[in-house]
This record gives sequence, C-alpha cells and structure tokens, in this order.
Amino acid sequence: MTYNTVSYIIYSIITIYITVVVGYKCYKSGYHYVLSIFIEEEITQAINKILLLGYYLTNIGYAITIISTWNEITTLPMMINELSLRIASIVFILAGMHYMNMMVLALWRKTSISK
Amino acid sequence: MENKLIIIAYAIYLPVALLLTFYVAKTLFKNAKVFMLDIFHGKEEIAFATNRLFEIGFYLMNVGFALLILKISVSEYNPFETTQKLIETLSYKVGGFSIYLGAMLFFNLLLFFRGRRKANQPKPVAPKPFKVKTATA
Repeated sequence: MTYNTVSYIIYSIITIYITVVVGYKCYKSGYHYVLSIFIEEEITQAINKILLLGYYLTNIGYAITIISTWNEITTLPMMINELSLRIASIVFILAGMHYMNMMVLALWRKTSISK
Repeated sequence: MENKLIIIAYAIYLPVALLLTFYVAKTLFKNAKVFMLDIFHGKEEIAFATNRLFEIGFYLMNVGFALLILKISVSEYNPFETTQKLIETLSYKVGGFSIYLGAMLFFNLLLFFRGRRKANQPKPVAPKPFKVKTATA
C-alpha cells in the first residue's frame, strides 16, 4: 500500500459520506419547495426521488473521477496536504451547487406562482 | 502480471457499471409511472407500456455506453502494473460512467416534464379549412 492508495480510500470515504448526508438533508427540506411548485404530492415525491438520485450520481461520480488526476505522494505531511486540498475543493463545489440550486428553485417558484 | 491486473479491472468494472445501470433504471422508472399516468390522463395500459418502452431505451443506451468505454489501453508510456494504477483507472471509468448516467437521468426527467406540459395544455383549436377562391375564366 502506497501513500496514494491509502489516501484514495480515506478521500472516497469522506467525500461520499459528505455528499450523501448533504443530499439527504436537501432531499428532506427541498420537498416543501418542490411541493409548492407542483402542488400534487405524488408527483412531488417522484420528482424529489429522481433529483436525489441524479445528484448522487453526478456528484459522487465527479468526486471519484478526480482521483485519477492526483499527484504522486511520497511523505505523510504531503498526503495530509493533498487530502485536505482535494476534500476542500469537493466541499466548495457542493456549496456552489447548493446555492445555485436554491436560486433556481426560488426563481422557478416565483414564475410558477405568478402564472 | 499486467494481463491479470487488467482482467481484475474488467471484472470489477463490468458488474459495477451494470448494477448501477440496473439500479438507476429501476428507481427512475418506478417513479416515472406517476408522470406517465399524468401524461396519458390515467389510461393505465398505454401509460405503463410507454414507461416500459422508455425503460428499454434507457437500458440500451447505458449498457451500450458502459461496454463502449470498457477498454483499458496500455502502452510503454502508460504501464498498468500497480494497484494504485488500477484504482486510478477504475475510478476514472466508474466515475465518468456515473456522471453520464446522471446526465441521462436528467435528460429523461426533462422529457417527462415536457410531455406533462404538452399533455396538460389545452388542445389547440383546429384552424378552419381555408377555401381558395379560384378565378374562373
């Protein structure tokens, strides 16, 4: 086991955990937002589930794809640096997407109410 | 050693990609039934038939793509000898496939939204036939 392999494992566990937890929370509280747009409960649940699945697929997929671009790691401090940098970038991307989602939902809600 | 590692990579990649496709298709089309019923105004037979057809299309597209990107190319400059390389290659392939699946999922969702919007629109009134007056000589 090289440093690289160990850090890949740590990295995937942490990022997948963060993605899943964030996704589940958004799924829970996003339900009411989607409900206010689509009114009917059944279709809202269906949409919400599909959105959650799409979120998991794209985000975890991206997080895993990035593994192939890592540099060679030779020492322990380097491994910690690299890990924190990579995890930070994933968390920032998640945050950016989260705010964008909120904006889209808010705009959509405004147009669907004004109709 | 190299050949063995590549076989291992394929043996991991194929089940992962196929199971992922299967799981995503199952979840998507279980939830799509509501959409289909809405689009076809509650006519169950045609709604479920359409759902099934979409599902078949989804399987074909994704299984085809999964098999298409299977090949791991090895050369002198790009040797395939360590476990680290195995993890990196697999992560690139599985992750890329997963992003593709997500994109296809959203594309299908878009189709459902469009269908629903079209179905709920009031039907346009057919224009009256336009009579052309021909000049009689």
